[in-house]
Amino acid sequence: MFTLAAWFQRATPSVRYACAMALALAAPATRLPLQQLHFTPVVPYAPFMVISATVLGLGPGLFTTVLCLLETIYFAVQPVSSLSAIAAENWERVVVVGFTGVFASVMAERLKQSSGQLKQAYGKTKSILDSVLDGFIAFDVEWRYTYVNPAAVAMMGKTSEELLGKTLWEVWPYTSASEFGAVYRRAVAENVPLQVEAFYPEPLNAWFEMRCYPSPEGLSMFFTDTTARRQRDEQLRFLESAALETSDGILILRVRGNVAGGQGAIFLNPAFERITGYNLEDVRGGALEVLVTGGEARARGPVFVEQLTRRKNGSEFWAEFNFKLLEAIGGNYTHGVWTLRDITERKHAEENSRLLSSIVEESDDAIMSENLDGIILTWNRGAERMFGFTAEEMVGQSITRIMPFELAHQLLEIVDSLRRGARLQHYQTERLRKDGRRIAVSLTISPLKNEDGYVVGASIISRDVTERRLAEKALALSEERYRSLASATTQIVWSTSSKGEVIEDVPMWREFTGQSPDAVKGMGWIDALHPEDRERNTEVWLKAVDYRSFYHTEYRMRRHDGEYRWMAVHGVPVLDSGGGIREWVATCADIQDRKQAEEEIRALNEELEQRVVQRTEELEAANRELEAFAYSVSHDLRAPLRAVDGFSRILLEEYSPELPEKARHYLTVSRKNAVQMGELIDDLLAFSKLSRHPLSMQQIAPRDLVRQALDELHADQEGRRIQITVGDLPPCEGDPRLLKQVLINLLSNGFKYTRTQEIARIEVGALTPPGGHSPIYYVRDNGIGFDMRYADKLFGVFQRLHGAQEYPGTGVGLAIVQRIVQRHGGQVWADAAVNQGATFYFVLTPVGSRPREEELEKCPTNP
Amino acid sequence: MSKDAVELLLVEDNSSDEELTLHVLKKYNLANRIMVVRDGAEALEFLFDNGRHEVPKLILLDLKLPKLNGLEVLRQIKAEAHTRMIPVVVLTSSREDKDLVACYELGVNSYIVKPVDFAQFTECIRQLGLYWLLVNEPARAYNQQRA
Repeated sequence: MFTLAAWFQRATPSVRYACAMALALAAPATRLPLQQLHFTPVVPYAPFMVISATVLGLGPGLFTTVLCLLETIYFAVQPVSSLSAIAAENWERVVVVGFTGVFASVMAERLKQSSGQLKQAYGKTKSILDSVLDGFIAFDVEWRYTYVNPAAVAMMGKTSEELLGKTLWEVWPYTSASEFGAVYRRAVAENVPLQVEAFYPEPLNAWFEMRCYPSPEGLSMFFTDTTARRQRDEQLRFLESAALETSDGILILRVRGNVAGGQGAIFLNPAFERITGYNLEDVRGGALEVLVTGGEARARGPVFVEQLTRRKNGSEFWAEFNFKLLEAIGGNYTHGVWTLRDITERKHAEENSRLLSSIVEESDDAIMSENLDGIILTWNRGAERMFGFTAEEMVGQSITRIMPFELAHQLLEIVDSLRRGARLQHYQTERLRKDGRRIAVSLTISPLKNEDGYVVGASIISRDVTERRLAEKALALSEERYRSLASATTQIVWSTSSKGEVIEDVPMWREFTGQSPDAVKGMGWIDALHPEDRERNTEVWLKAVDYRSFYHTEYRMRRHDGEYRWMAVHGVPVLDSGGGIREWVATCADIQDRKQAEEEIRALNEELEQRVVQRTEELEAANRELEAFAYSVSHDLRAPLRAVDGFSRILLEEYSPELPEKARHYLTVSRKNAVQMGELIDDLLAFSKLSRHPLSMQQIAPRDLVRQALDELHADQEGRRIQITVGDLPPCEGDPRLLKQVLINLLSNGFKYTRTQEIARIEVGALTPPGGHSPIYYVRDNGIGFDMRYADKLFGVFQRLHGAQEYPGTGVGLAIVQRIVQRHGGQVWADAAVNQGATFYFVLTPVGSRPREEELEKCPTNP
Repeated sequence: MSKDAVELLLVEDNSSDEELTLHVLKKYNLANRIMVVRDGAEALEFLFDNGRHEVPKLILLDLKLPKLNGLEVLRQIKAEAHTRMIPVVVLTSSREDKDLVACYELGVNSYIVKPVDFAQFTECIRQLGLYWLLVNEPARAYNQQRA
């Protein structure tokens, strides 16, 4: 109805008038049913007129009224169907219709006018309420919502349709029991405006300030959401207390002329004063410029400096100064803020941390860290060396990269124990190097915790124990070897502590001594030693302790059968890395039998020595006798010869004419024999002298000796054709006088026995056998030689193989040669055949080192 | 100094050697007044007996002597002032180094090994007598002083 009316009011006048006419025309149509009911014929027109007036307005209403009046005259007033002549009695009908129509039109117009005013006032209020930022709601006396403005809708998050007509209590159940409800009720009850600010929880979660205005119609209230403001206030409060409470120094200053200097300081927090000792006045008076050196104090832009600075009391500290300009309205900086932090500890911590990290970096151990996913976070140089991967290659990679495939499960185990916060120490495993080589490592894995104490990763210290493993294996092997050696040997092998106490059981010792395990323990083993030997043993051992060296001693030890047996004891200290003695390892060998044998040998030796002394004395006596004999030989044997020769001679010379020819011959023979006897005596003496004179050994050149010998034998060579060859003769050591005699004798033999040769050939030479043996000298001739069957007689005294008539001589020459060579420790031998010359060899080395047969292939023969 | 003062003292126990020696000396007329003693004691007696103070021109001394041996005789001769200057020639069969050294250490004037060969022996004695009795000038200082 209202909407229809509204529609018509906005419609054009022609439409409205058309409608008015239509209504007027429609009116008579209702007359017929009404006529039957005996209503007065004017009644049907009245509603149409009223409708037209109220709905279509004053003009159309009047228009309808006029038309209805005409229709009344025409239809309802006699004469019917004529506009003329209205009967007097019918005038009242016309007047009723006309009056009704005009009244209705005028009233409708009046009503319309007053309703428009009301509407205008209402709209004005509504638009004010609609537009205010505060929320506004109105309740009737039953607490039903009657009005909700858009701001309230926005704040409450419910549409007006959801609210209007509903009560406050049903929409906001919390309100009733809350501070809000209490205030609302009081306001209504006391009929006074009241204000409340409180927090409304779910679903609004906001602070509201409500201003309640009670009225007879109910309660209306303005409200605002103060959450943001409160938060801001709170924030400011916090900021302020933060600024006051913080340990960092804060200094706020005004920027003047684009320069933020200390004189513009407006705020300074207690921390600033605490750190620096300066208060606001000091700062204004120039303290800032003292604190922040280097001109930075008069900052024109952001500053960040770390410097060693000085407090008001003169003490120094490391400070971190930070300056920022604060932008104010209009893009101009009006204020700046300095923050100051005492970073002395941090500096020290940094220093420590640098130190620590350099320790980590420089460590020989590989040190790395990983998170719980096994991703490597850090990787030190030790790790680079150990695994061959650089930090660049490994950081961010999985630790499994250095884990052998079959050991990957270890990661899970490790992470598992890390999560429990456990620390893994000496975790022995293997890792892979970049080059694929496996290394044995010992890991120490510690959980890394964050500030909240949660394990977030691990640090891993890895030590390459490959060599240690090998060493351990070798050690185990050597220990095993020691054990088997100890059990294999017949000797007693045992060990004691550094103090000589038996700690480990020594079964071998016990087996020998028959002591019980407990009896041996500690120093009990000493009981098995012969009481007389204990002190000596201790002395020897203490000396070894002093020198930390091995000891050797012999002592008697009581065997299980009670017999004391001599034992040879060798003890060796096992040193620890510090050079101290860790323990002693010793062996005892039963040397009783050996001792006895030794004793026998010693007795034998003593006896032998005695005998030697005796023999020596006898020999010396014999020697003395021999000397005396030689002396008397030289003296007494010669004198008769001289007499024989002398008197024979005198006889020959002075009585020659009186003697027959035969007598003279006999005298001559007798003289010759006397002379020969003299030579024999001389040679014999010379030979005996050889044994009595000590050798004077020196380096000699045999070639020189040969020359001297030949010189002395000059007479033997006269009138002979002799070819002498002297070969290369290596030097040797010997008594030159005696060796010359050897050469003289051999050469003179050579001359003598080559007498029958047309050209005598004498060769002196040397053979040098392989193997560094001494040279073998030889003298060879092309003389008559001799039968090798008699070779053994060659070197005997007075032995001769040829007739003295043919080859004169005493038979002592070769004996002298042999004696001289033998005195040098050498040997002489000959090789010859009858009429094929002879070769005499001699070598001066001791017989024991004479060259072996095969080394002497070149040498014709060898006795 | 009397005219028949002893020119040569021969100390020799072997009579054959003595005879041969004297034979040579006489044959070459090297000494007329020869005194022969047969052992060391006799020799010393002759030299030191009761102020006779014989100072021969030469003493021929054998080493191997009965009673006192030649070395002892030599030692005493060289130890006494009035005999020290008499030339002493040791005439012996010994070739022993030991004897040679001992004699020279005691101050012997010459040491001769008697050759077995008589021709050599003769030549040896001849030269000896010739040298020491005729060529060599003896020291007379002591005797003159005493005279």
